[in-house]
Amino acid sequence: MWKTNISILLCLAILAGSCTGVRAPRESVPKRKAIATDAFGGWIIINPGNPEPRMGELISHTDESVFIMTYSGLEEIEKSQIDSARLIMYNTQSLEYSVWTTLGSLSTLSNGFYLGLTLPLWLLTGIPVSTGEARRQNYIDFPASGWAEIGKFARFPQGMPAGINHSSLRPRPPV
Amino acid sequence: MLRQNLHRIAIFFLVVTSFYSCQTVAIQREIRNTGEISTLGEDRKYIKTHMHDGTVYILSDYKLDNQLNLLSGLGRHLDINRKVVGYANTEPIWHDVDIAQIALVETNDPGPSIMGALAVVTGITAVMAIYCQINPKACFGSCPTFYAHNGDSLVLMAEGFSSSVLPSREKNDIDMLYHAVPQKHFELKLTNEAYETHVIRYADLLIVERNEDERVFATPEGKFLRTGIIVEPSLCDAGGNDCLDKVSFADGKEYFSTTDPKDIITKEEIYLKFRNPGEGGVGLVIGKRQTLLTTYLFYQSIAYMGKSATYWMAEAERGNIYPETLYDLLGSIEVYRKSSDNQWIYQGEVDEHGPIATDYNIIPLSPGREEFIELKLVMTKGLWRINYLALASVSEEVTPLVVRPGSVTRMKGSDDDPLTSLLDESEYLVAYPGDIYNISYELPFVNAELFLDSRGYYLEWIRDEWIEEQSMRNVWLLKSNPRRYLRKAARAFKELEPSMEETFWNSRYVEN
Repeated sequence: MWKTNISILLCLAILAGSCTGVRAPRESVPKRKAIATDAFGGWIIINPGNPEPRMGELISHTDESVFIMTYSGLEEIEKSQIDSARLIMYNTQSLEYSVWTTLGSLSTLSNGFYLGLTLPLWLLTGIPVSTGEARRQNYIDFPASGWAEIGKFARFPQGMPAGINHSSLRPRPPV
Repeated sequence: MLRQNLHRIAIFFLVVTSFYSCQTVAIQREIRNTGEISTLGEDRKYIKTHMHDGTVYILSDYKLDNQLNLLSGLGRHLDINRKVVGYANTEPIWHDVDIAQIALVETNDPGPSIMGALAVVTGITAVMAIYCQINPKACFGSCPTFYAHNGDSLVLMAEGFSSSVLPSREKNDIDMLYHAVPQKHFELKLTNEAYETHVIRYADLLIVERNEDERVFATPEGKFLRTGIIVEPSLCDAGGNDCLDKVSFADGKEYFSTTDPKDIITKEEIYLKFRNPGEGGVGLVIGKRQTLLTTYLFYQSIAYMGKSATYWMAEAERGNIYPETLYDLLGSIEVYRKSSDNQWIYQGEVDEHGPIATDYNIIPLSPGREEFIELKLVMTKGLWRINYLALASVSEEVTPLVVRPGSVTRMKGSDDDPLTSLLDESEYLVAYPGDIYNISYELPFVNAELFLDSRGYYLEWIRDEWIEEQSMRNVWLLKSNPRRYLRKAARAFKELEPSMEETFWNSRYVEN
């Protein structure tokens, strides 16, 4: 009995663990499936070396600077001051899948002795799916990746368009 | 059994998960300048064209026209803040984009979706839930089940004390292990495959030495009769239908009918004709089990009791109500013999609760010297499944030897000393859903007829689906007028009857 309980606890712990993963603030990036039709930049967290990390939508970058749309507006950060950065392209659906799996597992209580089939099926499917979803590589890091690679996920991957009034740029509306 | 499997499967999860967790799937984003548009993967559904002015087109069904220097497609043109440019309608429209104005083009491969597996499992769970919700009285349900080896494999051969649903109804039950192959070291596998608590006082073997051409059958009164010649019927008529094929051999074929929707205790008659096997005594051998009618009635009654089921059970335990009344109304299988003056003479009756395992009994018949013996069975329509009917010559009454368990192996269960629990009359072996115990016996001889003599009772677990049907009105009807209650139940049962047997067997959780 105790072995069973421990096994189930381990499974639930893995399931709970699968909820974690790299996530951008809610509604700041699209879902994975929508990334092909989303025209905003990814969410970038920049550690410039000074006490406050900067974060916001990646707008563009030049040889010297990175432009991000923070909660307070467009900011330009010199690349020379950046120690590290992480760009998150999209949020995974691991949380949804974990909840789905948990509710689905609980729903097998209505299956009577079929529970012996459906509960393992749920765990066997749900845990790998949730964990796999959480482990999707939904981010890239600087300096592990260069700015050229990170820049692909900017709102303007071609660079800041000429003639744009910076003050006219607006943040992404909620997804 | 369930918990054992869960443990094994959980370990499997950990292994699977650990492998799966090592995999990562990255977005593949391709960025090309206009000179490289033709090198973009053609399998991408969407293309984004980033314009020099900061706007972007997101197009599907795109195509390149090198002559006109246009990239065309169906989609939207978005401004620098990603609002649709130029028109209020946000529906996709056809765009011809001047390649000269394009700074970069972009395509994305978001990677495979892994959601499909969850969707499939959701579907399976839903089907199971609907299956059992529609027909919860047919799901699960068994009594202590005993498996024995038939020379080929381990098969379900007996169910113990099916009618003992309360402590006060504790009683012993003798089941013939008709297909068992006796061995010096004989083993029975005891399982609990239902949402029930099985409380077993003992599980002994009763054995009778016999020759190969003999069989020993038990009468409903508990006598054991040695038989010699066994003849199959030459006629089996069930309401004008030939049932010979169904009852001539102790195989899987069964004769059964369906209940009368107007009155659940409507009787049917089966007419049999046998060549008389000899001058001595004869008896009718009946192999039978019940349909799921009694299971349904039992579960439905508990469902009506709902949350007060324990109160009513306690009332029955104290003797204030008598749950047997329903079963008394349903009745048993009565056997009649046609006399020389064409009168049907009552010979006896047999009653064996339980829908799982076929049990075999013999009804001794009154003496007679006719060349052919004509018999009539009278029983409630839709209540019985008849597997075997034969006429046997009876040579003598015998007294079986009692063989107590020699050892018990706990395969899955909570009883640390199951052997003592079965041997000590003051103790019980308590088995919960999924429990398995292998009971071993040392037989003094192997040319033997084997019977299982088990004693105990079981407690049905209340299912959530049942509580939703709580109805004190029906409980009072059951208590005050069971005859009318049965008439009412007939209509409800009729709707479930066609699928009950299949549902029941499919919903069992058996590990062999």
